[in-house]
Amino acid sequence: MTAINKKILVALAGNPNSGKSTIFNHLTGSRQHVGNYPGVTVEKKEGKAKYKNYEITFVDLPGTYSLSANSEDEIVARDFIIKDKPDIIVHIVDASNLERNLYLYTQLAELDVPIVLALNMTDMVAAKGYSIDYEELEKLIKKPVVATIGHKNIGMEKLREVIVALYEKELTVEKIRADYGEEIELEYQKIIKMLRQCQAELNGYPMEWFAMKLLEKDLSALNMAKNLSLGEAIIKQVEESRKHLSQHFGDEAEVMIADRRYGFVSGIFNQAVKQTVEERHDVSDRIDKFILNRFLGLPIFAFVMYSIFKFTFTFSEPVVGWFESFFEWVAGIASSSLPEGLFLSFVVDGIIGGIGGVLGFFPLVLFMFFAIAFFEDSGYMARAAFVMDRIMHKFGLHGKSFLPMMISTNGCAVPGIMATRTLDSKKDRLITMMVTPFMICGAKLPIFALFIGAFFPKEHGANLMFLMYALSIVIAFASAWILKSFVFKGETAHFVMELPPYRVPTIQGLLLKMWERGWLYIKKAGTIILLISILIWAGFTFPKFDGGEGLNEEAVAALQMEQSFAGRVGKFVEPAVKPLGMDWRSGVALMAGIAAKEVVVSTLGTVYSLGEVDPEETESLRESLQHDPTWNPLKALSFLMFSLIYLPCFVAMAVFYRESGSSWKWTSFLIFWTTVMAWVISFGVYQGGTILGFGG
Amino acid sequence: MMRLTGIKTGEKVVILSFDGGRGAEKRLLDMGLIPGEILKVINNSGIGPLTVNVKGSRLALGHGLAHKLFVKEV
Repeated sequence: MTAINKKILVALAGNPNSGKSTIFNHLTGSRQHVGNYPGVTVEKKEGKAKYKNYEITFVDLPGTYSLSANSEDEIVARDFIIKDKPDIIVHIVDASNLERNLYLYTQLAELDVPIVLALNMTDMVAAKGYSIDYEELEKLIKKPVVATIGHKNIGMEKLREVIVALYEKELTVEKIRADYGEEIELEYQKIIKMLRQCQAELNGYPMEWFAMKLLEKDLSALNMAKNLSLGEAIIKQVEESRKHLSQHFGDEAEVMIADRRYGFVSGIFNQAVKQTVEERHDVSDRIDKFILNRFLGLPIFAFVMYSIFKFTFTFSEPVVGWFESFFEWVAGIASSSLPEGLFLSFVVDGIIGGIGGVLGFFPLVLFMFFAIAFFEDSGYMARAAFVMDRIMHKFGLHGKSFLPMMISTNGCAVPGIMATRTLDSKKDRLITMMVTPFMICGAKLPIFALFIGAFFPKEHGANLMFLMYALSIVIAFASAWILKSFVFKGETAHFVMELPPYRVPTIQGLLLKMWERGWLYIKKAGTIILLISILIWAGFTFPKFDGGEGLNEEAVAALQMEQSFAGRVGKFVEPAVKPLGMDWRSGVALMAGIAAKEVVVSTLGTVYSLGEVDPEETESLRESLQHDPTWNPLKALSFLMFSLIYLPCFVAMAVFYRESGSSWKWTSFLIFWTTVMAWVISFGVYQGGTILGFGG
Repeated sequence: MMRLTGIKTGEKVVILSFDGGRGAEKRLLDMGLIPGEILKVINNSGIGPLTVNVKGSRLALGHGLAHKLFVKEV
């Protein structure tokens, strides 16, 4: 055994959707989320791996097209590369899309960091109709090139070897620069000359990179320059240089710089790549003819979503039934084998009543995650954004804002809020963050499944779920429109997004994804939800109620709950929820649900379990709700509306706070906004429904 | 000189200039839409966003953005 004596910091950089996270997972044994759409990774992720006697820290960076940092996720990537100074950069390049991907290389290559080019997805190159001469490419870019196929785990060993060789300087790399031409070089040298005089103030920022960014009129670079001792003079020089260049070329300097970089890449591409077949008709393009069609696009999207719910409800239904019976059986056993008293109540009402209801929906969640994984891995996600763009424009957003909403539906609002980092405009980002939590996430799903199952005919389950889903989109869009019209006025930012090629998802990939998310659901139920369930149980159990002589057991149980801590809180909020058709028990459940949305279900489970006095007659929560005369379908609908819209869970709010730039103002606004919206809409549904005679 | 929104599906055009905000322009440059570049319109239904092929990758462009991109036929 050799002792670890050397540490290497390696950054994985590359375009969005070039397969960085897949390679990262192989190199570090992690299980970072991957998907076939741009912007899956928006935060840098670290993972360590041992190789020989080295400890290699890999950092998976958000995908970026350049080092200009137009959006928050790109700033994360750029800042790491520039400020944290990794020892080595692994530039992951989609080989089937080489030319566009190498544009980033021209900027990375100007930094003083050794680079290894990982040519990923090399198995897709032939299908594109060309072949790559690796040796020629190595010679041209003057960096080692490793061919990899991420999803097949090919090329990782070679990658590790090259990383170590670069670190030990057994392999040397030459710095290269795109040929910018005499005019640009001349101006660049002038700026470099001035920067050199205050080099100490640059805090180790690479000077060459900085000079180019100034010429490109990069805002963050300009801001930094202002604070240098020669700031004024430098800015003046930059302005003069830019003016000179634009007069000379008839185009802005940044356009010319980009042009030269692409020219440089083009040269490399033409020498290292051989066209084997004349341009083929791309399969993805043919599929897109239908999927993105102006008339078919939306119906197809609706159909896809409907299929997901139909699939989920149809196949999970029997299994959910088994789970329900299982928990009833467990509760029955506990009731008959434990002595009557506090401990029995703790087990049956607190634990089984609480998390039993949540875990009972595990099969449903699992089926949903499977269906959605298919959607994610196939490449349809980005198309959904495209199809929605036209409609979203009318509401003041654009298609890219739809991705965070989809991510929220696919599991959780937290990654949804994080994914807004890919949006270029700050206003768009805030609006999207505000409306993303309206979507039905994995934690809200059990609430919907429970109430739909209890109050509506079985055969309409999927239809109702689909309607609820459609409604969540409508509410999100309507909110966006109100926010855009009154709060965040201004023009809608541009929509530009890469559409990945379609891929046939693998069964293992789908099962793995389903299991990972499903496992999170179970883990959450077994930890945080369990803990809160116990607290809620205690809240309903204490203080103990002593009176009630002469009353039957049921009445005592009801009085016990009403005068408990939780009951008093419920009674206190009851006037606020009464106009919505809810009583104090719903009030408590909804309030507790702010901790985590599954808790809405677990709290109702505990409440109904506590109210049930005959230990021989255990019912599932669904049956208890059905048998409770105070409920009816209209009240259930009002309850669902409220659950759909009201406050995001605590974790989502915390992430919102952080991602909004630690803004108390916007976080308070979010709380106010969602509460008011939820109340108004539930009120409308319940009162309107009552007037129309549905309240029977 | 025409706007990209006026180009039919399947046609190839060369980019001349962009008449929009700086932020948008940077984004376009980074994604390969530079003056002089040839792009192929994969799908343009006349309303809403359109898709183009540039440097071998497929990009979706919003209607507003495409309207500010000036091109000419090759």
